[in-house]
Amino acid sequence: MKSVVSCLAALIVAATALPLALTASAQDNVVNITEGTFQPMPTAIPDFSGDTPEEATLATDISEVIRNDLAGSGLFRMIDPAAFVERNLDISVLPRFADWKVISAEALLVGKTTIDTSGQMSTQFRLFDVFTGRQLYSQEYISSRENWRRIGHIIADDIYEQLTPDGGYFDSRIVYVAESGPKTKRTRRLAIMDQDGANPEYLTEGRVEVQTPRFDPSSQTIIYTALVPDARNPLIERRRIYLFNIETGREEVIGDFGATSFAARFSPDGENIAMSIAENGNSDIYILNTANRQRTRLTTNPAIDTSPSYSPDGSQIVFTSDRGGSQQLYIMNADGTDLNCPTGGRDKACRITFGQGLYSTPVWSPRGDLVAFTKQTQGRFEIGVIKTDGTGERSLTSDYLVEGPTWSPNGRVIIFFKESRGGRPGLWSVDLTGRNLKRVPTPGDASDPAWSPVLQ
Amino acid sequence: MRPGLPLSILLHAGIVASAYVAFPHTFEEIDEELIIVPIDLVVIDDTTNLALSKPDEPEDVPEPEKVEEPEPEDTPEPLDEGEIEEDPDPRAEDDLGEAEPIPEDEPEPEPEPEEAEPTPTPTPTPKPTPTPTPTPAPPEPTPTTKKPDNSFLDRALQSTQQAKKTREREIKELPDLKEVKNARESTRSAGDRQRDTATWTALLKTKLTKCFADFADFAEADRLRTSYQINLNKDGTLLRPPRRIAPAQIPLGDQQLRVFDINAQRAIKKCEPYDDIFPPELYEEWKDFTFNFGK
Repeated sequence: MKSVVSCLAALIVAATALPLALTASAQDNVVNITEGTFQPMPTAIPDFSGDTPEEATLATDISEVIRNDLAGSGLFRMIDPAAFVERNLDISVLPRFADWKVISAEALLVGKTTIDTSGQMSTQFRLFDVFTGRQLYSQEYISSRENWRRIGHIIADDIYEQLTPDGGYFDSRIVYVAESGPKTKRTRRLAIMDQDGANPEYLTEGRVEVQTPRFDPSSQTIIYTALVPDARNPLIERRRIYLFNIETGREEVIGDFGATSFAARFSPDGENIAMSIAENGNSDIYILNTANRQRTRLTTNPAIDTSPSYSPDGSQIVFTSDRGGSQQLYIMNADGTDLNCPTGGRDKACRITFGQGLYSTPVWSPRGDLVAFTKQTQGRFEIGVIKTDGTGERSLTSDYLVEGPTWSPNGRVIIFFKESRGGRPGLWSVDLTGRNLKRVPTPGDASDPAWSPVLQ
Repeated sequence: MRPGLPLSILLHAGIVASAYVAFPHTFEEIDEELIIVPIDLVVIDDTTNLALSKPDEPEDVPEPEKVEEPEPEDTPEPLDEGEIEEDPDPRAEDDLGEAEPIPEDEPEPEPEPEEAEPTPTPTPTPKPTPTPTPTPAPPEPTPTTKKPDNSFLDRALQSTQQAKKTREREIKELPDLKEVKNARESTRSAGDRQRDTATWTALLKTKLTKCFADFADFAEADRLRTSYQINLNKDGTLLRPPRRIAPAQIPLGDQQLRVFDINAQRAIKKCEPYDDIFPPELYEEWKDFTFNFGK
């Protein structure tokens, strides 16, 4: 019996020792890659194909929208089509990856547009990873041919989503205040356009001045403040909050909140509106239910509390307050209960900024990890971001006047308005890392932008 | 019972045999090899004897480069160029060991003599000097400028240059040491292996960091990790597609991790081949690697 046991033991030892020893070298050879290098991904997007001249034209236009979207994000570098080795790609044939590796393409998009007998446009595409030599994604969209630009944005969103950790944001719109006329008698109208500046359109006529437009989560309704003359004393302006339906063009008055109500913003579920209202000389944060118009006061501090912005889950609100002696950013629970502060202890509101200067217009990122803000320091303004626990504050850009940041739907890009000394106000965008600062095209002067969610 | 005894002996013998195969390094003797350090002996008399004044040229500085020319002679110049172009991989250089500088120097001097021939200075020096005594060669091309240097500093400089020349000669003779080097490799110690691994790891990390897309801006960068088992061919290419060893599966809705993982795969492929890092003669030691991506 003993010998049997010893035989078995020997067998087990022999069976385990040998493989362990053979893999010993592999275990020793370990490399930890803890960081990467930022460089826009070299991407090849040949014009989509089309069998007829009309299809080919539409296909080329769609390809151009996709290229512009991706290149404009700063995360992709479009490879010059002149460098392409393989041409006349067929969507049903696997590309020759070696030909794309040669020109250092990392991603390749192949597509085709067709129009059927009923006039419907169909756009198919395949996204390939050149280095791993496999298809990452494929899709077909059917739409009316007038929708070609939007189809381009939607495909660009798909590509972005496959190649970056964030969702896309190209199929979205920006509402802003279009400004015109002399400085002393400025006309401020509500305007809307695609995120790339295409299809600009005025929503109001400019008879009354508009301020702080914001989208609701459905992207179909805009809330904004209008300065309207007081009925009893036309020299006094009252702030009236409107809801504007983009589809129907219908307007609805939410309420008339006197001379000092500011910065109304929807909650993520669209059921509430957070805003600041000044009563008896004290500005506080209020929640307004959109269904029953019931008002709930959230802050009772004698300091000035303003500019509320919801967290993506709707549970918290970031706002500006000077309760600490200077204008800083604070976070509180949306239901008014106490919360644990990052600096320790529990309180109704926790301060998250401690830098020098005045902080204002905080906006919670849709990703939830950052808050964008405007900061005024040493005679200049800057747009910055800070983590919600108050760490990692960094400035993204600064100028004579930069203000009013608004996040892209994926929390990756910030649009704000900027006016250089002696210059004209316009919209600019910057990546959350501070890269890819660029002007957003608008037909005229522009300020106070708000970025819609991705369109449904 | 009895049949078990020979079986047990057989298996024990198998264990001992497998241990010899499995743990070869355990039985290696750590031979600390004598490292020959060349020492230049400088005769002080030469530098301090001010009475001696030999006509030396100040242009001696470029001469050492010309002294290297004798070696390229052995190989026809254009062929070498072709060879270098055909074998651009650094492993070829590694194979050559210390002979590496020779082909590198070859292409540079080649065009110079050719161009020098039409120039006004008729100096037919390029080929005829396989000289064990390189010093007489330099005076030939420059018969015009000879300055007698009597200063102490010049003498000191000269001796330093001579020392340099002797060192260069030693370097050129290093191919002879190739045999010694190979012998040393066959008796590599555990310390050697650790040092190599550390070097490879550092080089690989640098290389992969350049191929790997920056993820610092990912929303949850700190939680993203993925590990790959890599098996390499001797030429540094991937023997088989990288095998993910962690995590076992990417959750379907985890977009952050999915893109992070694809970026890791892309980086591994993008950085291929890895022959610029590993010496082929040590293939057994670097053929398998684990790449961990993430903070």
